[in-house]
Amino acid sequence: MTAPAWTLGLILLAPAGRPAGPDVSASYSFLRAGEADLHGVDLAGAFPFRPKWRLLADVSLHSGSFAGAHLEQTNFLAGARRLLGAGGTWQPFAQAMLGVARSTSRFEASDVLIASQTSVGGSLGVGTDYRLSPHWALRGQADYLILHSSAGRDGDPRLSVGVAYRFPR
Amino acid sequence: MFGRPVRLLLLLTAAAALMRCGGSNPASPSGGGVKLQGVVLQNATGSASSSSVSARSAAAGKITVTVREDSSLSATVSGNGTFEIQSLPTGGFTLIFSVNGVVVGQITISAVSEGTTIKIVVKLSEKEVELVDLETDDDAGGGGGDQGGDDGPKACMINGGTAGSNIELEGNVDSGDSAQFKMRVNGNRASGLVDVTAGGASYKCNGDKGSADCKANLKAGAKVHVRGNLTSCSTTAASVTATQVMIQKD
Repeated sequence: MTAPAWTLGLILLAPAGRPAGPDVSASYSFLRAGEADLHGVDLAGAFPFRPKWRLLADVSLHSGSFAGAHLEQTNFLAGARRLLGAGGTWQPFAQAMLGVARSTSRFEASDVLIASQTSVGGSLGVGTDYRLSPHWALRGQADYLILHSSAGRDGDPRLSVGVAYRFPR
Repeated sequence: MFGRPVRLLLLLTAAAALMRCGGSNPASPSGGGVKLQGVVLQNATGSASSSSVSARSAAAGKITVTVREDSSLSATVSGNGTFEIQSLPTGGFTLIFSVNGVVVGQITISAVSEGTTIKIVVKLSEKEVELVDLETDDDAGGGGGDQGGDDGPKACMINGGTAGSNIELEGNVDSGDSAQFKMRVNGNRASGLVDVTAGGASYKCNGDKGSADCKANLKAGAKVHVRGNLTSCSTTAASVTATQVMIQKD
């Protein structure tokens, strides 16, 4: 009996090998946005669809000041993460994402001036988990965001350090 | 157990510090002189706290800031409006703002001392550039400008004036035009004429006249209120870069 073609797709998408559950992370995040150093939080969630692959969603919010103006930037990114190596205590990974970024510059004096910009682009990054327990890990990662807007192209490095929790399968 | 993760955190922190050192515009060489940090608010909308701000529609595009006195000194404004230029001349300079290669306007900064960091906020509209705010930090301390350090209370010809600090002055125009003029400060607050650079300042007049008409009203004898930054001050000379000039009487 010949299996229908769609079952091949299910097989490709189905988890294989040792099952692993989705994970979420919360990190302190540093973003070099243009000439400004911004600080904030990075929240991410990953869902396994292959033994070494994860679907990834990432939201980071950063703020800071530069030259007397208050700056904010929010990044919405989604993509894929590839686990590297055999895993174990250390679990390095590489990831690529696409998405949008919204930056707002605000200056307050006698008047309040606000300028906003939306950019599209993506990021490439690497990182590693250090397993503290079957569910908890320390996570450090570095990403390089490449963002396009009407103002041109920006390359913004981002560093995040935080904790990750992996749900049981 | 935690030795290795701690080392990882230290490594990431060191990497963050390295990124902080880099990332500047390649056209902004490091070195001495004056450093300028700026934010360009393009298509800025205003919410009134004490007065309304008109929202202009500026053509969005790549913004470039070039120093007129040395065209090799330039910077491309990033998506969030920030830019930085280093090694600027201490004797004052003019910044030319271009959008997609088309010059929109310019702002002149008066003399500041070596090692000073100038911080400006600029509003960019379709037809003009307006200096919204200017602050200076002197790395050497003791204020900037030509006063040569803290020499006591009479280092600055303006009573209560400190080079590098914001200042408000009231007086009358002695000579000059809306871009650059000398003013005589009311009372005995200043022992001489104060140089005011106001090419990038916003102008306000009593009455209903617009900004362009208002600028034309600046002539010798006009009573003005100047708000800005005292970029340099000695016992014989003082320079103010204005962010706002209010003409109170023609």
